[in-house]
Amino acid sequence: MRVAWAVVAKELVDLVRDRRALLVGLLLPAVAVPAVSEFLQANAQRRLQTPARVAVVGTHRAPALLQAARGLLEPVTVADPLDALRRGQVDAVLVIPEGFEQAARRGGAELTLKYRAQDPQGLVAREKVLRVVAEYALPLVDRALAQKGLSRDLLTPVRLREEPTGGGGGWLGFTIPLFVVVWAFGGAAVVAADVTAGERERGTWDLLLCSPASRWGIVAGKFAACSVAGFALATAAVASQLALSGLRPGPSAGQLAAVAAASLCASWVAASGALGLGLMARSAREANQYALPLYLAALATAAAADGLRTWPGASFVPVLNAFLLAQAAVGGGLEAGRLGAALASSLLAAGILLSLARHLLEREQRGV
Amino acid sequence: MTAAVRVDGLRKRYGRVEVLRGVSFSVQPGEVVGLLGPNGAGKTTTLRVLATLARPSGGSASVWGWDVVRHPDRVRACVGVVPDQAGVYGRLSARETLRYYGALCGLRRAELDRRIEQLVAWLGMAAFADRPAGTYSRGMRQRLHLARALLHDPPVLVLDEPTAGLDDPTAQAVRDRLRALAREGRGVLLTTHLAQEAQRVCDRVVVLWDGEARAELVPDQFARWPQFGPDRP
Repeated sequence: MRVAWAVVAKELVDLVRDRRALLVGLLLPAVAVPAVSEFLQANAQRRLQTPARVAVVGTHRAPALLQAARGLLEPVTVADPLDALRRGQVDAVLVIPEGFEQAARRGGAELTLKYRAQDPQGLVAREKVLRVVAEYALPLVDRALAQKGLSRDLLTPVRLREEPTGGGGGWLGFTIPLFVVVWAFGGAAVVAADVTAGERERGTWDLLLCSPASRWGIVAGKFAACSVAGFALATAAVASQLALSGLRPGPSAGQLAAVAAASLCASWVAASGALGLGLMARSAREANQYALPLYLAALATAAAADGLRTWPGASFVPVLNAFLLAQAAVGGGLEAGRLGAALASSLLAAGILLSLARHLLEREQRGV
Repeated sequence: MTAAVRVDGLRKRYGRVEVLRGVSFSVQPGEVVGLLGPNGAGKTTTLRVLATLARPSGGSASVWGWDVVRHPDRVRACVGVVPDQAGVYGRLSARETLRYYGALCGLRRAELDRRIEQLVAWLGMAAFADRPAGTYSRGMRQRLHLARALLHDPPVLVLDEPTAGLDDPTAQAVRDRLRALAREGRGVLLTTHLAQEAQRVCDRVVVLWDGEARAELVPDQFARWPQFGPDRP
């Protein structure tokens, strides 16, 4: 135990004193990435709230339609609408045919909408135009039905009453679990490469191995240092994201504790896996290359989480359980059983990976 | 009496290349023995086996009576190692480095602090012991390595080219310390590829050549091996 403490203390002191690496490698991503994520979300919100820029051909043919479009569409006058659409100057082109209003009153009027199907701006414009058309058409429908003595209820025999409740976490329900997994792996992998292959490159590895320190102590100390780095980075990223999101009211202590537990789970698995890879590598660069598939596997697990959420075994799968635990903490629905299963299975996985790491360490001394 | 180091028919193979081919020698307590040979003779590999950093392919090696294969933990507890080209923790001072290795050796805090102060004074490190080791000259680093190797008071020292790259006064200071350690009853084994260096510090020299121990010499016989370096006696 003393050996493990000595190793983790030395590694953390070494890490903290490397100010430049700490700033660039650890703190900067923890601040910059949540900031980018927040910017993207704000951008998406702005896109939904700002009127779509639509080139309307035949404005004079449907003044009532354009009246209904106020706040949703911003009619733009351009010389060549299709060219403007192609060059992204407008989000869509709406073509109003001759005699539109008379045809609409009779029924069977047709509008043409041209938009770029692969462009989010175009898709948002399409949604807004559909709303405008519905709002324009509804009074016409009501009037026609009234003339025949009918009610609109006949056309909509079933109505949906929406009663939204809290929960789900919104954008944070995705970004926070993602940051927990991504930064736990990022922080642990960088430090693992440094404390294994990096030591080998710097010529201090042999000094460590020929010391009387127990091999378990060395592995445990290095594991703890990597776990602390992964946990610290995940926590910093989550805290930064929460601060930037301006969430009111802020998360409860229980939610924060559950997110911290998820970060711990991800950090343990990341640290033990990256440590083993670092022990196999001959240089820090090689160790980082080995860690890349590990990182991608973690990302893939996070990406698959939505589809696996209801699977009973999900709480026992390392990384996946950390993602789902963080998601449940942010969005509600956290259960004690899930928390316990995630902690226990992550510790077990880390223990197995650390046994492999110790085996690699001893094999290195046997084989060299 | 238990030999400080005993190597018997030691073999080491890396893939298809046999680096050591039945090397045998011993080092007695109180003796400084040199492994003399050109680059690639197998000196460093022999030291790595004795430091438990490499496992022999054949033969046996023991340190203070403990077999390096069967009792590596015991061997590590009684050998101090100074590898060639060893690195330092650049952001830790000498005192912090020694505290770290002391903890790895299982030394208690009070005992460790006393031992560190002893070694810092004995090796003349007081002026730089609190500076980050990344700023040290080669001579300062070598003294730090020597202090680290002696921290747990091992009865056996193995050193790979301990004076290589040092200026004359620093190299002489290291030699003096090694002689003093041998006088305390420790067995000291060092490697060198320079006959003059071996003559200056060793009681006995084992000549390694192409993975084999070709001869054992006492200082006045060194001149028979003039091929070792331009500074031959």
